[in-house]
Amino acid sequence: MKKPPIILAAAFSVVAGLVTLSILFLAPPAQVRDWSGVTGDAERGQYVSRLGGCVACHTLAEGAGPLLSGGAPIMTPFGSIAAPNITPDRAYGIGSWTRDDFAAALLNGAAPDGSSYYPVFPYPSYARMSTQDVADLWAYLQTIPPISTPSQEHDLTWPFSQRVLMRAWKTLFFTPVEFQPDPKHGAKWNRGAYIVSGPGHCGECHSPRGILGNSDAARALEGGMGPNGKKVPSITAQALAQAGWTRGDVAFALFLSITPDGDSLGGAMGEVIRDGARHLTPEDREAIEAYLLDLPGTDD
Amino acid sequence: MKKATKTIGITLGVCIVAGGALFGAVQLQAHEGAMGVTKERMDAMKSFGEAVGAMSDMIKGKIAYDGARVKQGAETIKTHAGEKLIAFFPEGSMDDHTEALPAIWLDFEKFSNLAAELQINAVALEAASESQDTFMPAFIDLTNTCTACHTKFREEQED
Repeated sequence: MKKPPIILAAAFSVVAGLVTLSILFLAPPAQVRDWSGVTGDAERGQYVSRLGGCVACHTLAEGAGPLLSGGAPIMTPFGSIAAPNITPDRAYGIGSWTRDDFAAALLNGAAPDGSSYYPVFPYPSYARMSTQDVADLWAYLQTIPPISTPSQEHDLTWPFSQRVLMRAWKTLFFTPVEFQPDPKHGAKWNRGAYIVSGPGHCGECHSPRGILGNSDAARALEGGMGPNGKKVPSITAQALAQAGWTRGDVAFALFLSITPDGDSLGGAMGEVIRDGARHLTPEDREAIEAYLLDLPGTDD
Repeated sequence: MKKATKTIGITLGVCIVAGGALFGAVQLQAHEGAMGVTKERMDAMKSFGEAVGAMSDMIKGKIAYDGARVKQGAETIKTHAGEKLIAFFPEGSMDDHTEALPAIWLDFEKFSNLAAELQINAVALEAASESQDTFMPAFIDLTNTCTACHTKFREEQED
């Protein structure tokens, strides 16, 4: 039976009304962490920056731009967004931020002025990061050279150019909760799960999204869309097994970019490996593999 | 009435068979794929992949280290790299099957340098093939070149 247009219109009005209300009155979801006893370690933080893939987006490719001083525009269905300068420059970077500002950005997607970031900045994943990793990353970012280069402007189509809409988006789709290990699995598998779903933010490209850019937890890692609008393959255990990936293959690919059939991964994944994964410890690459392939016998 | 039904039946049958044949022909064409220089370079890349895949399996311990096979693979890459590889990419050689990006011809110097670097690294790999210890760093250098080129000059892989 076809619904009469009036019912559809009414339903639409109700939804639109709720969205407007949430924009105006509801505070977007946010998490609070306990910082007592947490001290940042800059050296570890440099490692976290590799885990988080910060360099790939926040630096112009191929050493053309100074480290983390802003990257090339990322194409989305809603327009293009350039990752900003996150060096400690006071005018153009994040030099005037406090650690709490930084934590709010990473864990709640909130800017120091209270506005919300677009989820191109993968805070829905970063929200799962441990408090220690956030503190370490913050400590590291204090140590890199400040660069006085202005961040590039975003170029979004209306209405997505209205940042206030992100408040509603967060209310609808954002659940900021720290990663919790699965007690059914061991330390290695859980370390992999943490990296993949948290700092590594694999699902931001490898998971499908709804029409409003929301991700569907039930279909995590089943394949999505990359930063240049290209299809990104599924990396579920089943899909990887079907494509012939076995023990050793994932960790190897994350190190040398070489797939089991001898192909060399390029494009966006090439950058992810070049700027992130290959700088990880072999143990972390193996943990990612243990989780993605859901390997038995890795529960140690 | 009966005759009409029969006619419709035959017509439908013919349509289905013809449609199926046409579909098959289109499929076949798609599978035959690239022609000319595009096909040549895709075949060359495929042979690189086979060599690199085998060497990867040696590092992963899936197969035993085989210096002779490494040497042979390095030779395959060496003979198709450098000038030969550059010649595989005449300006604007794009067709429906290619994964090459137009960026190649926008920065042909960079592309040519990578093609030359591949040859140098293949020569080094060949020389390093005798023992697994010397092979490993040479293999890493070689695959870095593969990845540098694919990251800049090859279309995103969708499967």
